[in-house]
Amino acid sequence: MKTIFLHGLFSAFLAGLAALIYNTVYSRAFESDFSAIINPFGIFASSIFGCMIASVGYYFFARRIKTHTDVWFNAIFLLLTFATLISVFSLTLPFTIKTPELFIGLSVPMHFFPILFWLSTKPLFNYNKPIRK
Amino acid sequence: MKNKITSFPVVIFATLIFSAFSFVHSLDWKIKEGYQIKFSSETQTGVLNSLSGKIQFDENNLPVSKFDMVVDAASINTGNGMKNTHAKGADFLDVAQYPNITFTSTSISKTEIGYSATGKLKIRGIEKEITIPFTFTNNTFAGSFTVNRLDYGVGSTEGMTGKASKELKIDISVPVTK
Repeated sequence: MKTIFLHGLFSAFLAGLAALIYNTVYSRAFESDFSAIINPFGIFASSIFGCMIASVGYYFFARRIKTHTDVWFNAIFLLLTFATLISVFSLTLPFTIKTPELFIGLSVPMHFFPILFWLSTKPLFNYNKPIRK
Repeated sequence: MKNKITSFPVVIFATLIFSAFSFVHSLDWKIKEGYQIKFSSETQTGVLNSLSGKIQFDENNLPVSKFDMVVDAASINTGNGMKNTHAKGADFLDVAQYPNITFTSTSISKTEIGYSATGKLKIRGIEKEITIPFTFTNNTFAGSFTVNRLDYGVGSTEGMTGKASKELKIDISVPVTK
């Protein structure tokens, strides 16, 4: 369990860092300012939240599904990631933000960073052995 | 002495001309930053961010006062990128074909609570007469009125656009300076 949470924290940190860099590059490239909605603290907090949910989810999922655990878990994680995009498309920003059209391009990739780093760092954390009850 | 006598009518004439110009000039107001055009209904809210035009207003000379306003339709902001694209599209404001929303007053009169401007409001190429009640305090024009989008061919009653409210409340606040 400890390894799963470490994996979650590590991937959250990388996802947060990537999102922070992406936010900076995107804001400069498009001269957009979404600082009223997205700030570094929020980026890291949501990354940690997403990856911790994944960790807890994986822990309980692995206790129930003994075969093809990763296949099923990854599919559900991906599905839920796609589901979170609904919030991006339906979000109404403050009218002070002149270009809400650019918000989608900023936030959609960020929603995929947690699963991206979760999957890419998984080989570093060897917890695929059966979990004892 | 003779020179003084002959120049006297010229001075009077010039004074009259310049005072007439200054009188006309005193009607003009410039739109200051910080103006707001908000629209709201049960289903949608938003703002229009670009306003320009000519304001001639004198509380003591309403017959010569006039509003000639232009709003950039593409400046619509609902706070949602997808809704903005839809609002600017052919189904709604069709900003590619009708880039401006205009209001030209034909008469301004005094009312109990302030003033009212009657004129032609043109949206999406369709012009209708409308009366806009407004106040003028602290060098700020403020008014509120309702528009039925269907009167101007904005959207329809069918499909997705049919779900949008037909009546839109418009709130305007325009600070001005001389």
